[in-house]
Amino acid sequence: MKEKDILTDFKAHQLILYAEKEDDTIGPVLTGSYMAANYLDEFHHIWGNFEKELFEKLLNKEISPIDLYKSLEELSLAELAARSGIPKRRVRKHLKYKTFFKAKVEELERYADVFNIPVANFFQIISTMQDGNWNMGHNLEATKSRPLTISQEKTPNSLLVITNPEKNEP
Amino acid sequence: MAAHCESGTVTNLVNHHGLRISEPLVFGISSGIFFGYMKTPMRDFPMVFSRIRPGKILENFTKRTGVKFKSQKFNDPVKAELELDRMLEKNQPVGLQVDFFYMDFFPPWHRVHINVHYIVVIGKEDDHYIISDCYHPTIAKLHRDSLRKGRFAKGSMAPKGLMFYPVDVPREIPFDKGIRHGLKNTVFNMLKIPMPFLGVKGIRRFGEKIVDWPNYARNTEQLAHNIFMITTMLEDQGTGGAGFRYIYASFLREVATILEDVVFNEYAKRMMEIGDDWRNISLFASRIAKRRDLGTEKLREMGDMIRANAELEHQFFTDLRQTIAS
Repeated sequence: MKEKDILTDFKAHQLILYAEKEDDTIGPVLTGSYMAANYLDEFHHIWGNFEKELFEKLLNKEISPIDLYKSLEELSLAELAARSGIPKRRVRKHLKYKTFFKAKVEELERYADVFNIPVANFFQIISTMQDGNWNMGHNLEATKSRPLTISQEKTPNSLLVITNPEKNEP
Repeated sequence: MAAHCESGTVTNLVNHHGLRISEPLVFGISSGIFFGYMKTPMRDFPMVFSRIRPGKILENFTKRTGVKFKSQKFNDPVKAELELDRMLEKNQPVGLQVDFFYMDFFPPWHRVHINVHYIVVIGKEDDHYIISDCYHPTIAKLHRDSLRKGRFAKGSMAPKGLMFYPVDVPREIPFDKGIRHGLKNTVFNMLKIPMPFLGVKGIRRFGEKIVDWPNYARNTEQLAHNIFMITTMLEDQGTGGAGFRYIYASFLREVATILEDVVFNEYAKRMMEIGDDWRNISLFASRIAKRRDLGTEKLREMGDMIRANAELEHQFFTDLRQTIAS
């Protein structure tokens, strides 16, 4: 691939590719990601639909919050068990809404650590209005354009999180 | 920045110690290029990879060049952090293995759980570490809690706090020996490993099995997402483009100069062409995923393209084996 054919203008995701240069050498080229430049919207579209589908299932008590985050972070049951240190048999139970209630608080802490969220987020969805739809996020640009920023602050008590809504500057 | 996190991290660390070496040379000497296709219980979809096992680049480079690294793993995160701080106080940049998910200087859509990301820590300011990440265009800051989580994430290929840094870097290294060793090992990996899912056989298997992917998917959307991920794996996950084939072509160009043998320029040209074919596969995958045109016919067409590349790589590495044997 020639250098001129590989260059893509996309500042949000830069990477190094190797290409044939004009002096006939093969060397590194800093460019935007072709994939992200052309298909990121599609990725968000698929992901947005996936989030909505999972959220509906959670509302309808078809899945547990553990299954929600496991699916969002694309972890298999075996990988989640290995990362949390909780036996697969118990993880399988916690993925179902009915048996999620058997999870101990200490186990919830372990899951939250893997998902990098506060324990409190297993029992709430924090969202802001976007384009007339309730959306769980993931779209950074869309998040920036929202009138409110909601941040969650850790405390020394791992079960307690402080949630701060802040009005964004117009 | 660098094309790939492990080869880039090793290159940056030895460059810091005065050894002038390019990333493609580190990658090639270490036999970084590879291929594998397998289904494991750890993932819902089959895994496709185009490089050798994480950690092997560092290991092979050390063995084949005589550069000595000190590597340490830890059970205790507190001890691991203290040792990192101690080395930073000595102005020693340190390489770390981490889970990419916790590198929160990247946007959320970019981050996935993968325990085999490599970074260089170059300093500390209060509660933040100063990070040089091959995939990030600028020097970044990372809170110590996030770094701790990244270093001690569990699961497959867990980092276990791995840190490493060079302790003995010769000023001059006769690279020809390392290059020959690297080439031989690469040819063995691609042609001779007796497993049906590794090397060229892995590419063939990928081509055969892609038509079965709808069986793993809940719906078309999930299938489309995973077909997109083929492109991401080949082009966007720090491969230098075309699943490491372009960076390997660059290595072969350097080999021609170092070994003073123009035949390797021809091999570089052929590898670039093989890379172009992989890129066409990536673009094809993106197109059919975007259109949700994921019926058996299209997947079979994609499988045919992959199998054709398997035959090209088989011929390439067979010829390369004869060249280095002569």
